Amino acid sequence: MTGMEIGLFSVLLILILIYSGMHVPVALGLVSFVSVWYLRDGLEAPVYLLTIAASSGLENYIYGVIPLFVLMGLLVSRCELGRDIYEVFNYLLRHVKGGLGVATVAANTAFASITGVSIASASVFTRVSVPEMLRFGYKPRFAVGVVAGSSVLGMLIPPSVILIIYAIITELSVADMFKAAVIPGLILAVAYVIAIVSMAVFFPNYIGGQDAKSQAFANSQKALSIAQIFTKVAPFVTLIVLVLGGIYGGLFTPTEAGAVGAMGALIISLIKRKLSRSVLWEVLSETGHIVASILLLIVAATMYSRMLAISGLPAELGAWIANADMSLASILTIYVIILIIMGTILDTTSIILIMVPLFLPAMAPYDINFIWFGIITVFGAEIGLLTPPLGISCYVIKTTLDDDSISLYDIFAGAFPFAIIILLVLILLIVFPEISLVLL
Amino acid sequence: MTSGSNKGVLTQGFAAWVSGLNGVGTLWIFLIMLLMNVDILMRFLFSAPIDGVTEIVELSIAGIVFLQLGDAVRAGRLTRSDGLYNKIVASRPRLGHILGSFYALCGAVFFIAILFGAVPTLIEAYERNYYAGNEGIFTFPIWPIRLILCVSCVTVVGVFLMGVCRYLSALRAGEQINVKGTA
Repeated sequence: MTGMEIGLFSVLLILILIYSGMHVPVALGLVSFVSVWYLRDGLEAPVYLLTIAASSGLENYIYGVIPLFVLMGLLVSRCELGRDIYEVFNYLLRHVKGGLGVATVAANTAFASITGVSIASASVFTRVSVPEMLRFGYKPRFAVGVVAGSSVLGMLIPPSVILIIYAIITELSVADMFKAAVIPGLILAVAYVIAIVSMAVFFPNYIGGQDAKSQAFANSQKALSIAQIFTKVAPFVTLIVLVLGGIYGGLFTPTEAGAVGAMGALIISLIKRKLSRSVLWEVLSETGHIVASILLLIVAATMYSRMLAISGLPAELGAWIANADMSLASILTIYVIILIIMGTILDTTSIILIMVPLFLPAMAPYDINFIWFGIITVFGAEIGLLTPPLGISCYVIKTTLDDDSISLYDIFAGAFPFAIIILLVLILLIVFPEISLVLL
Repeated sequence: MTSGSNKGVLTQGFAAWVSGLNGVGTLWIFLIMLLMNVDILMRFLFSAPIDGVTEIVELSIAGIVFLQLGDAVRAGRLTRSDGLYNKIVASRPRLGHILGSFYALCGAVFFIAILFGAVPTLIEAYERNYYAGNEGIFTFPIWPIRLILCVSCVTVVGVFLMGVCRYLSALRAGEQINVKGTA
């Protein structure tokens, strides 16, 4: 077999093993180990590469950013900041059509700018905004759909662990990735809002809660004073200024910003008396589990991308694409379709770690901006969070919900319009790269 | 898990060891966060940053990750796509258990491969006294991190092998076991 054939065979084997349930890092790492062994005809090369990936490869200052942002995200999820910001937006948007839905999107956007994990957003807002929408007569399917759809904002709006992972494996700047994602993330949020308001106007029965009785009920809710709004919003402003302000003001490195943000979140949860010793220990231990699984994935993916490079598959793929004389648009269309299909069985991190090392070298002849390519990759991979059979956000909502009257099917059906909106925004981003690059 | 008291003590001891390593890693993350904040405060308030913080953070990552891997594997937190696998376990439990034990075995083999390369780097780092940082300002020996890596790898191999045993005994007893929480 030629190197390329071995590379191709390895990628297929990895996908089959992952699909049938092998742990993703084990499949990536072990198959790559055996392929390099075969390609180099000896154990020395694979052992060397794996050792580099697992020990000195991890000794990189930038990796410190992952545990710190995960810790910050888990801390803010524990101190009811999500509920606070949701109440504020509810109050401010009480006269808007579909106001509770719009408030969910707005609160998720604000929450996304202080957390980096979208799973956190999905579980927080399932507890906070689904019961509220149901109470005001919204249809269950719409209520869970809005939460599923807006939870992906958590990964798109900086800080975001997934943007950090892309920056690490492509050796781009974390700060630049964050900057590039701001406008696309906000466009998606605005697109959601437009869609919700239009649905409320044109299909009030799909959303529910738009009749006079619900409106009267909404108006009878007690008002928030300026002081109350201030105390609910202040923690957000503080954390955003500390973290994003710190990075772009040139005060902190992204890793330091993570440490400052985690400390800030810790202090806020102490002030709000949401932090007992046992809760802190739980949060730290949860952080450890998430970080261990993400970084092991990165170790295995490093091994995998070395294997690909040795096999020559990405270069062959690039040559094949160049020979086929395909336009950039058609390549990107194929790429996005593959991302969406993979998204139906895999989590976003795994998709990015499998696809980017394969496609990035192949895209080189097109002279594209890799930051823009990263934004497209993250958007494409996020669609899968909302689609069956394994839309992870939908599963998180189902587990958090604890309400048997709302089925997993309802959640997928409710999320579907939002998945379509992500796809439309993605097409917009592909057609106009400037949207992602204007802030750089 | 309950057959024979000797085995029970052994598994309990091992479980305590795994969660102990996890505890050390957990505490370590917290200390790194504190250290970086103190460093930043010292820098802004007194223009006196702490030497070697960058090096400490760099060296800590591998230590933290590997210390917590055993517990993450035990708790079923390694990323996997379990949709098809759960269906197999539900419809054909025997095939499911065979697959499950095979995958846990592959996990053990992967970490043995990591160990295979990590042990020589531990010996080398110890014998040649490798250190990180700048001489005269702040130095820190590398071998303790390599030792943590090796010890943790052995632990992870153990966790995976216990997973293999659990699947095989379930296969023999012909019972259903839940995929969550097993290696």
